[in-house]
Amino acid sequence: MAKAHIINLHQVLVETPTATTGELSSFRLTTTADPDIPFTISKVETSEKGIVITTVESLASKGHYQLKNLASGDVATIAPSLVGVLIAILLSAMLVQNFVFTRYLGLCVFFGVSRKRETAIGMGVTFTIVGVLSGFLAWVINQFVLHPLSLHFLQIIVFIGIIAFLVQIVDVVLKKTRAALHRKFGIYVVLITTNCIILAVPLLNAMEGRGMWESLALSLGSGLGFALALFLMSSARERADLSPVPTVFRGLPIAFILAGLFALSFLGFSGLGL
Amino acid sequence: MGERRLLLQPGPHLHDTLSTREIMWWVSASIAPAFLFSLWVFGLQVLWLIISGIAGALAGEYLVNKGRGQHPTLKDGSAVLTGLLLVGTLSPGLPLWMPAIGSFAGIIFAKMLFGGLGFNVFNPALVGRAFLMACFPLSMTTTWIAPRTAGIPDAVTQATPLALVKLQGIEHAFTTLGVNASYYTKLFLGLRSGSIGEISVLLILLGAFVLVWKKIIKLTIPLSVIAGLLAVSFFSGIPLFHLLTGGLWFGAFYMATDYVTAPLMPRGQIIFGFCIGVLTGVIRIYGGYPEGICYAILILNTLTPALNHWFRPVRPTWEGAPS
Repeated sequence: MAKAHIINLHQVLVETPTATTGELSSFRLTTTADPDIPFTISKVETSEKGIVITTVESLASKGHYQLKNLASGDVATIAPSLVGVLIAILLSAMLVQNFVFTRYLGLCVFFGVSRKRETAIGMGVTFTIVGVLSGFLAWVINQFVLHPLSLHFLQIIVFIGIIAFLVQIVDVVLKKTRAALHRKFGIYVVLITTNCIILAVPLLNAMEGRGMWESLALSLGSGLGFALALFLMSSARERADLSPVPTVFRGLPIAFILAGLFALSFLGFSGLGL
Repeated sequence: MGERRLLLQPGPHLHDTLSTREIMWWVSASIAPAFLFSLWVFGLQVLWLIISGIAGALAGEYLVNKGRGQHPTLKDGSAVLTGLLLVGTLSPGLPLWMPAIGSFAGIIFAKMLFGGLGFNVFNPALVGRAFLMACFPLSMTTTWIAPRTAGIPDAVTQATPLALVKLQGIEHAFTTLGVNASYYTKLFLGLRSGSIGEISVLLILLGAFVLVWKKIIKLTIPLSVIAGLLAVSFFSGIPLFHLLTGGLWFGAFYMATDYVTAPLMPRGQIIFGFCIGVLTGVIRIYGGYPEGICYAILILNTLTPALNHWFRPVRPTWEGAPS
């Protein structure tokens, strides 16, 4: 059967080379995951581009669906394009499900190095690099070693090993090339090892069985999201440090309140259908 | 030799003839027509909601003042304005105690804990609204009331135009609403369901005219917000509808122009406003909420310190000063 794709929340376009007319009862639309429950089709129209099928239930623009032509028995699968999925994963990890502001992960480093803008930017870049490398390495090892040997229970310990290995490398490289920045980071470079975000990304990838590009997109998105959170937080904290904050709220307490307000405003991204 | 003490505070440090107190009361007065209009179309509970919002804001301010042993800052009018602006973003059918909770939380968490007026990073009224939205999502989104016009005697719940578009899609919603040329006039005048302060574009423009005439606000930010929204809504096919519904005008003229939480320099302001507009459109069209200007302004508030840093005025190098 011809190609089919979703054009909006309620409509599927079936591209047919010849102008075939369809009837309401001749199509069956289901999700790929659950082919037993069909969608209710309210209208089937023929346009110049092909047949437009309108459903009563709304469809997800990035969902996987199956369309069966009951008359001919052909099946068309509807799947989102890879680039679209990658962009969606990236933006979702960065904004919609920002690891700091919606999942509250990675807070020790977040509060530790967000005092000054300069260190925040440096940490954001370092973190993103470590995150992407470890995400990739973890995917390779999971895909070619742990998964074939059914050693899934070793995931956490192996991933931590990979991250520790990469952090050590970054630590040495930073010490030799950017000594000033390394001193400012202090303990926090080494603390990346135990950062929840860095560990969460490979675990999430393994759990959802993502491919290489998807894994990379999530790693990059989480890193960029963390860098963004650090940057915004550091500029707000520099301002709060100069304000007459009540004595008991100076320093960390006001930073926690700020983080809460950031999370409140990032709620605006929730439900963003990418 | 006496000890010299330097006062270190974030900008702006300029001084003007119009005092903060006068500005706050002028802004409150300029929004009054829009609120009176709401009182007329939605009924008397609007008044109780306004009183509740203001009471919550004053209580929060007074509590922190007392706790810190400060001179009370209630009379500077900023708390009253926060309460008013918060109620302006709320639905007229809300339970009466809710605005008090929202403005109390907004004043304390967004303003007073940062040191009071002039030091907040986020707009306290919008934090109050986002707080209510997170705590009571059902009341915040289902209590809209149809305006009382001839034929409808009493309060009838009715979804806002934007909520209808979100729920039913453009085509269905437009049939339900009966959109035609005269419908846009109704939107402009404010005969639709919506938040207390936002419905009448005409009266908000009137208030904005007063603010511009008193030189309290400049048009840079509001115009950039509107341009940003138009840029996005152009792709949705219904730019005029997006322009005239929602809290766009209220947000653009009264929320985004807040001195404390908006950037100081014109270039920063243009970027700030344009991004608010774009984000509002993105949330409206692709997001989970029918209206996005509240969150768009809050999100751009987080960027304000950085924008101030990037676009800070630099002394020309020929004057030889390091900066």
